[in-house]
Amino acid sequence: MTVVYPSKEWCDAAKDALNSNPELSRLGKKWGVGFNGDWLYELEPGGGLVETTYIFARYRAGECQGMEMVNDPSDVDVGFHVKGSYKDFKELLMGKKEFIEGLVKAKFRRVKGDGKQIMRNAKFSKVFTETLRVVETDFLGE
Amino acid sequence: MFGFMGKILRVDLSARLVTEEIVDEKAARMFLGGTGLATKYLFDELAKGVDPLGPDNKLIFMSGPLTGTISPSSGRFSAVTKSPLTGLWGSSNSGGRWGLDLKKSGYDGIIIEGVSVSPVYLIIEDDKVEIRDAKSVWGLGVKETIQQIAAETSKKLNVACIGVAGEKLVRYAAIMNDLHRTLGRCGFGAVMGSKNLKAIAIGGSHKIELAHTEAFKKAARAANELINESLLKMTLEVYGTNMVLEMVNVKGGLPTRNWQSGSCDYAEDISGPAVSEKILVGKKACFSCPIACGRISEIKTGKYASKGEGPEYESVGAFGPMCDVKDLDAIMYAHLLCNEYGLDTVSTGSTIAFSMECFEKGILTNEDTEGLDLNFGDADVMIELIHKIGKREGIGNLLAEGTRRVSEKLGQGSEHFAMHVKGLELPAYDCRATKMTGLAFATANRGGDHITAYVQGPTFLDIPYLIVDESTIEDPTMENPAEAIVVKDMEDALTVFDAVGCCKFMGMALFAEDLTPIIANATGWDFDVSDFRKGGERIFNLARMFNIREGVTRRDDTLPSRLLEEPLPDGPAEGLVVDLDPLLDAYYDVRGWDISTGLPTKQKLEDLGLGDIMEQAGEI
Repeated sequence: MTVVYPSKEWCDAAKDALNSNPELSRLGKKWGVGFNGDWLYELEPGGGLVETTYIFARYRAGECQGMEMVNDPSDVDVGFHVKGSYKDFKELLMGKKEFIEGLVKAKFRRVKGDGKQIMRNAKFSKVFTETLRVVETDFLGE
Repeated sequence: MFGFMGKILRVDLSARLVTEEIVDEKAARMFLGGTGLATKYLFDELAKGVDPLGPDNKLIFMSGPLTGTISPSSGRFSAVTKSPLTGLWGSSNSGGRWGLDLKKSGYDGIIIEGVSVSPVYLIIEDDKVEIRDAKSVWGLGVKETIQQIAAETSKKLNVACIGVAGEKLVRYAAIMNDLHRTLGRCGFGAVMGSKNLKAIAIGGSHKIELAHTEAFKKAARAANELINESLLKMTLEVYGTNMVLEMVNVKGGLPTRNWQSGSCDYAEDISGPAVSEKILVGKKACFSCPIACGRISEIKTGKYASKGEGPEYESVGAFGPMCDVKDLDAIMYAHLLCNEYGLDTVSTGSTIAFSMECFEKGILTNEDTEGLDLNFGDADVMIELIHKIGKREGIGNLLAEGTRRVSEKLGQGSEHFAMHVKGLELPAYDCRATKMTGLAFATANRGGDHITAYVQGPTFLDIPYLIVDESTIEDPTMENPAEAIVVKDMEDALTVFDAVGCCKFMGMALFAEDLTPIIANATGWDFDVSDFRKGGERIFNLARMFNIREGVTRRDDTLPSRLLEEPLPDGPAEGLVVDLDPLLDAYYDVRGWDISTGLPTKQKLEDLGLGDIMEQAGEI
């Protein structure tokens, strides 16, 4: 079933997809253990998105424990907060842009989060992104 | 000794005398090898005030205990001398395989002394040394030199050599090894040329003995695995060092038109991804490196048709925005031309950019330039100037002296935009956009240098260095004296890499706890994180004392006045300058140095086991 990104339905489908990938589970088994591994994704308007939108993902010890839209980012306590335009997040999920390309082109900015964890767990981040691409998605502005 | 070959080769070119000496184990333990051990020799053997291009200067090549082992990215070697560009401690470090081949030849290091009456090259193979007449190769570029020596020796030796620039004593001439790798900065090529030494061809069959082989292998493999999983691997392997260009530009720190601006609108046309799309034909790894950040690029047609390794970020920065050249083909060609002449791309690009601004302001005119219009953005003129510098022809003879000397000669306010520190031209990171980078430039022992403390990682790239306890810079646009400790810690930690023979990039993804077992098991030393940190600090202070002996004071730990007084006019860092003094005060304090003079205190030197240095340093 195709879902719209971003939406509650997309978040539910994304959580299922993340928990259905054994390789991701293996790579992420230490993620969030001993530190806050939860993520806040801040989607800036443009490319079809009208207003700033936040997605909160709770990932710990190889399992996505929840993914949801939040209205107020101060409602959640995250270890990592990354920000980018909806257009760039869209291209990432469509597979038009790779996570690394987005990084070196300074499209995604790390607002918060321990860079050491990102440095050491880059493969986990890459596979996390790739796993989200299996969700059948309709994108705004397309 | 384990990790070491145990021998240093000493070649006196004046007397044509070749001797061997045993490596002092105590010195090796204290100074770790590579840059550290070489600096100890240089400090002990060079008197104050030696002419860098005279017979009394020494050129010291040195490998480290990890060089040539399977420790990740551990094929590197260092060289140390008194720099003809700065008149101070000169240090450079190179990759490729020459460091491994140095050890295979039977030696940890080579000390070159004196001056040969006529051009020569050295053949060093399995403990045998020959000094050969270099008539057949003197005057040749780097590639032809390597080919000719291969033909004359009929052997597969690895050649480190100078090009025409080194023969002509261009003050920022480089020594090239493995064709495209370089001891780039500080003018090593000119020192080698001043000794009439064209090349060192090296090879052999010696093996490196390790103290605890199985434990070493286990630690090295674990480190390799960590590197393979890291962000470092994913970014550098895909895009090479030029991956940083857009990240620097977006922060307003990409020096453009000789630092008149901090950003350009064509960054994505010359960035790492652009290289991948337009000209990349392959990747290259140094010995034992799991990353392969090296690029092989080819321009297939046109006036810039060429192929070779590169371009690296610094070359793109120097020949791109620094000179306001937007043509990636021309930038790559300029980079390869420097490799062929044996020129430091950073100093070359920076000096050309400086000359362009002099022309723009009428300080240089057509009368000075043989009719050439030194306009920013003119790629053909930029290329022409590289030829002239490499051969010391026309205006090139002046520019070959380096930005500081050229500005001193020209005057007319050009000193304000002569972008060097202590005589070494600055690399492509504008520290008005990230202030702690400015502190790092001001305090690096070899001059305006970005990799003594690669604080650009946490400032421009938002990438930490795991090798230090803390590398966070809260707001790069602010001067925060409390963060001076980050610069100090990174300087000390990265100095260890130059000493042991490992690539500094590994420090982004490895904790000190990952690297110390590798060093300990290679050498048999009792070596932990505390030894790691103290060893780096010791070497850094020794190099500082060399400079102090040559007359460096706090006055020299500064930045060009453009960076201190002229706000960036546009871009994300618009309006910013560097307020250096509070940062310097804090830095000297965490260093344990006298705040008014920048001199290491007697207590600090004694704590580092350098208590005898004050007396050896003589009148200070």
